[in-house]
Amino acid sequence: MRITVERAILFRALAHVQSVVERRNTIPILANVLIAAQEGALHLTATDMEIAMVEEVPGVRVDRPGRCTAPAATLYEIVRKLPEGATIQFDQAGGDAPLALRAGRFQTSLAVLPVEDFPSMTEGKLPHRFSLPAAQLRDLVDRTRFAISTEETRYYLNGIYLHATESEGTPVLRAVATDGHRLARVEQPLPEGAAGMPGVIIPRKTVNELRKLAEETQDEVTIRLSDTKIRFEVGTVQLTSKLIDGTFPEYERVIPRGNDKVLRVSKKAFADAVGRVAAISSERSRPVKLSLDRNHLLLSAASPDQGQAQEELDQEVVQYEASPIEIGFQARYLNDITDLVEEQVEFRFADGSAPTVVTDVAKPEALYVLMPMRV
Amino acid sequence: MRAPRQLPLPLPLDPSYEPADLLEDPSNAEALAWLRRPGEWPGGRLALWGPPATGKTHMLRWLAAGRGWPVLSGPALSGLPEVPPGTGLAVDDADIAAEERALLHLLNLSAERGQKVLLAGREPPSRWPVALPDLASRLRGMAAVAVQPPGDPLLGALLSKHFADRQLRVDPGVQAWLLARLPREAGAVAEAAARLDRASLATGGKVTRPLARAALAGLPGFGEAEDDASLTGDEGASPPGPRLL
Repeated sequence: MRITVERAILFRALAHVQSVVERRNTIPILANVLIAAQEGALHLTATDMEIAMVEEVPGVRVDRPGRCTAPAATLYEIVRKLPEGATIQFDQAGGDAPLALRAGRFQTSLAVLPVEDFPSMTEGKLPHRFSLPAAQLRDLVDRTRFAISTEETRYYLNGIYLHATESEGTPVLRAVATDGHRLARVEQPLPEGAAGMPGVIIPRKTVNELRKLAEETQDEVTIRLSDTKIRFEVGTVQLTSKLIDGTFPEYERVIPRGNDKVLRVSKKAFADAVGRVAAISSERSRPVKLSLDRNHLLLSAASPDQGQAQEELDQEVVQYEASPIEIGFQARYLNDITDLVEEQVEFRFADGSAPTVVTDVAKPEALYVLMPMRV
Repeated sequence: MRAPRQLPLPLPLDPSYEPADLLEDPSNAEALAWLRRPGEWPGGRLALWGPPATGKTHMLRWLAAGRGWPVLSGPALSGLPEVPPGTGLAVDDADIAAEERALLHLLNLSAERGQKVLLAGREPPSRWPVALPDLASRLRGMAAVAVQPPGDPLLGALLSKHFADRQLRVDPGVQAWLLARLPREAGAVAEAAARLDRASLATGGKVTRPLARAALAGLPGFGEAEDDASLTGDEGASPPGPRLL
């Protein structure tokens, strides 16, 4: 294999694929990137056996086609440190021969591992296919991924549940995540071709890689999937991932319908007050108590070591007409949601120990459920 | 002052009633033998009874699914319930039927049509607190088969199934530790799994021995007597678990 490629082009592609590679690997080949050069095309592939990322690298001169695998992290670091505008030449004689890399006066030789050992994750049929704008995909991810569980014991919550359903008679593509303390649900109009898709749980790592890729494009993202696998096609990148083999809970049953104590409050005033009041707390969970009365909200927190703090918000920023209520929440959970709200946030309470529904007044297509703390 | 405590979302449970997950054991062998032969039920009726969480619902659904019978819920029986056509029907929690007249209507109509009827409850039907004389006499005349309290191997398998139903990964060593301390009752095992599920969801952590001690402290019959030095650490050596079915 002999190829020549601009440093900037190669660096961008390597930055994508090396992100999939786990830093600690018991299987040596998984630390490598597969470099495959055919006539006029170079493909880089990395995998951790759960996710595979394949990037087609444009603008490459292929003098001699061939394939080899090289250490992804090392290659990435070398290319990163090469000067901008450099031209890189790869030369590999095939088999176990090392991969020679030259750029100007720099040259290195990297050990390779057999191409045959590199696992393929991209095979298998993906019968469902649809596309949606990258901005809509970003919205689905951004409004749900904060609620993904990080506790491996409950593996079926370690991802975003993506499925086709109906919302008040309108077909929608819906994303849901929960860690058992809060739940995020957001939807977009159902793209053409998505109607028959199975509900799938996309693993957290895949979600994070997808989010990085979706940041770089305004184009449509194509999604192909089966019961066990999903593929995102973002520009010249294909991200293929296994799906979580579990059953997502019937989340609709934990979304309260009858909460009638409605608070509307300025997002900025509320989020700032939560941050200030919670600063007193030494607890990891930083509980904040909300005490509500007519058009009046008192936020308070206490710490046995540090003292107590409170802040009042009045009718200038608070609308509340229902009977008084006291309820506590983790400050971080409140902030995770208010970070996603534009101007006004709406809370719908039942009582101090029941699930609370939170929405952005300007974006009703996103809904959050928050469980309180006993404070 | 009580420490603030995060409450978990009440995520619903979706237990498996798949035939493959029905655990056969000497405690339910007689009941299963009866369920496999509806043609031999006296008068075409059978009552399945036993303590809570011993698998009555699972067995009832297994039979109904295999024969295409509808499954009705006792607490939802009211008025003159529709009796779907077919060879039979099953009523779960029939001992707590919302309206006695509805259950009587169901029994009469199915008898007229020659449909088999399977009822499930916690006590034999002759002991159900029924006020309607006609219904009481029909229940007294029904064949009734008991599901016995489970033996140790089934208790271990039940605990594993409850965790599997809740999609909760629990270390086998912790499961063995739990089994050594839980009352020998299927209901207690089910209740323990439910409490541990809620507790681990609330703390956002694994089911460990310290968490189990705290979460099951109020569970009647949960004992710490068998604790010894080798069992106190979460990662420590544990006695081998009972062989699962």
